[in-house]
Amino acid sequence: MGRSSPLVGWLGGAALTLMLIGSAIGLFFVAADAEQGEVQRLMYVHVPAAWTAFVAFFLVFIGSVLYLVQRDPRADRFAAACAEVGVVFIALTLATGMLWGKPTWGVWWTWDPRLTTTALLLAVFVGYLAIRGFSDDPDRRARWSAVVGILGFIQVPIVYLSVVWWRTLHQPPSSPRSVSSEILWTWMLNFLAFLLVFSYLAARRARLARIEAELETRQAYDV
Amino acid sequence: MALGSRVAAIVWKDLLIEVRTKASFHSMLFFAALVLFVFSFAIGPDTPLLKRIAAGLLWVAIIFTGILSLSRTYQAEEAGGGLEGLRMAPGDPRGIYLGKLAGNILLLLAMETILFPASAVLFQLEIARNALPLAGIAILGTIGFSVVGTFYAALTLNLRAREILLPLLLIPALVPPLLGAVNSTQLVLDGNPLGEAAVWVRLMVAYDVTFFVVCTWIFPVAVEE
Amino acid sequence: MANSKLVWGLLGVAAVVASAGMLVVGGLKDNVVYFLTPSELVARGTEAVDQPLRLGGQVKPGSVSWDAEEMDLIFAVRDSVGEIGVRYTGAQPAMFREGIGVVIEGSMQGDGIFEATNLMVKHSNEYKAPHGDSIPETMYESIIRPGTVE
Repeated sequence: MGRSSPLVGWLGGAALTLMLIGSAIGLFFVAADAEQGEVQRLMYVHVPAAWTAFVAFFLVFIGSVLYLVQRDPRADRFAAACAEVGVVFIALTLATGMLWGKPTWGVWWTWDPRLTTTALLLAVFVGYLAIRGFSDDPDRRARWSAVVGILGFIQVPIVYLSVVWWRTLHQPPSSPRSVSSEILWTWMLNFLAFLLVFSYLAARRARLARIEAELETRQAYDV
Repeated sequence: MALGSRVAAIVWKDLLIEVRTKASFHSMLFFAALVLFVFSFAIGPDTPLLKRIAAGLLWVAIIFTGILSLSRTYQAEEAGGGLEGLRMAPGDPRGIYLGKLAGNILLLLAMETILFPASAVLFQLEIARNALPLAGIAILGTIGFSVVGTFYAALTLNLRAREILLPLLLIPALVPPLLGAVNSTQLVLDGNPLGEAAVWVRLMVAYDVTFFVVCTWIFPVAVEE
Repeated sequence: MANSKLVWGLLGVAAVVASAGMLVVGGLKDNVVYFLTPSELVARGTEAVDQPLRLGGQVKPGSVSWDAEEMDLIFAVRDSVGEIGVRYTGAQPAMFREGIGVVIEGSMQGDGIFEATNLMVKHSNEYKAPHGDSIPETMYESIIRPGTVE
């Protein structure tokens, strides 16, 4: 127990540094898109946040499977930490998407398939967190949330492919061919920064969960 | 006991309790009617608008009512610690799920046989002429709802605040069958018996089969001690 | 161990759900249509009159007329086959211009004009810094993907 490992501290430092550099480049050094103007800079938050959330939910899936195979509480805490931070990132994706939608599309929100499936993805993992929040028995909590985590992950490819399968207002995913190279590099840099921020937050959250678990057992013995 | 007789025993027991007390059925029916009333009042005297959204209102009423009754699914056993008993009984725990599922479907369908004609009166819908396709849609939609609902009801059984948690988990999972049911109901009501509605019916069939298999399969994880 | 059997079962289930989920979603693929293209709406004929729906396509170059006094916007939306006249009252979205993709909510009127209640701009997935005289003209050709228009 005790202090967190120094590695996590370094991770936090690296995340903060890269975040500052990425934001500075995205905000001041790269020219904005010719068509959309300054508002296109939201892309450096919106897209990395979305991808990071996808990564997070994939890790929830992995953690949930691992838990059910090995019944190791560490896998459960790992999945829970990733889910909690993932929910923050998917909420950030929706919020920045709305801010971006109003000036470009003309609306904050529309029920197009991409937006609808993303909102459902948020709802599924809020449900995951709720089922954890409301169950007292650690074993049951881990088992049930693992089931929800595995089933919930199915929503991720659906969200990603929604713009390919259906007609949407949301544009299809950009590719290196549709984005000029300086925008692409800024974008990737910010994605990396987001991944580091995610790893840092998830590591801290997992540590907190470990302390909570210890507290839970101690209280159980005291009673 | 073989799986079949386990299922039959549970269905028989629950239906018997229901028929003797009629506790769930009456309150469900009244609640569903209230939901329809609230919509009618909230939307106002715009009959063409009500007619256009009738299918949506009807299915929202069914889902709200269904969620209320789902949270009571395991109540009869729980009060007397009987679920432990059911689980302890030798044999496949899936029998509990299948029995409860059949009971929920029957109860909801019974309610719908009254709710559909009632809504026809309230919203001036053409129900009698399309009774057969509507019955098929109602059955498919109810199966889809109950398959996932009965599973999640077991999953949330021992949680605090399960009245809130059940809809929170269930409603996102119900989007495909709800889309299918509402759209096909509306198409049939608009006098489009089988043409465009067929794709939506196929969607409901695919959903029902998939989730029936999946929920039956993993049910033991949900109730495992 | 009963445990691991259960887990493999669960993994199998996840696979089944994934593939079957794709099936379900695939079924949705043809049903859930966020917007109709102009040629699809034309094909519906008088059946579509007064039905609230969404129409999507490209603003036909040279078709836009804007009355700033009355806030009246008239333009044509087209796909590779057909086109439909649109009337909209209200402020234009900032990115609205000739040749751009739009999704419009409203309904077809008896006179064959689409009366819009809401006008949304659909931009492409291209992001390029300005180069000299800028604004690539072909940028919005890709908005209506081939295959979505029969």
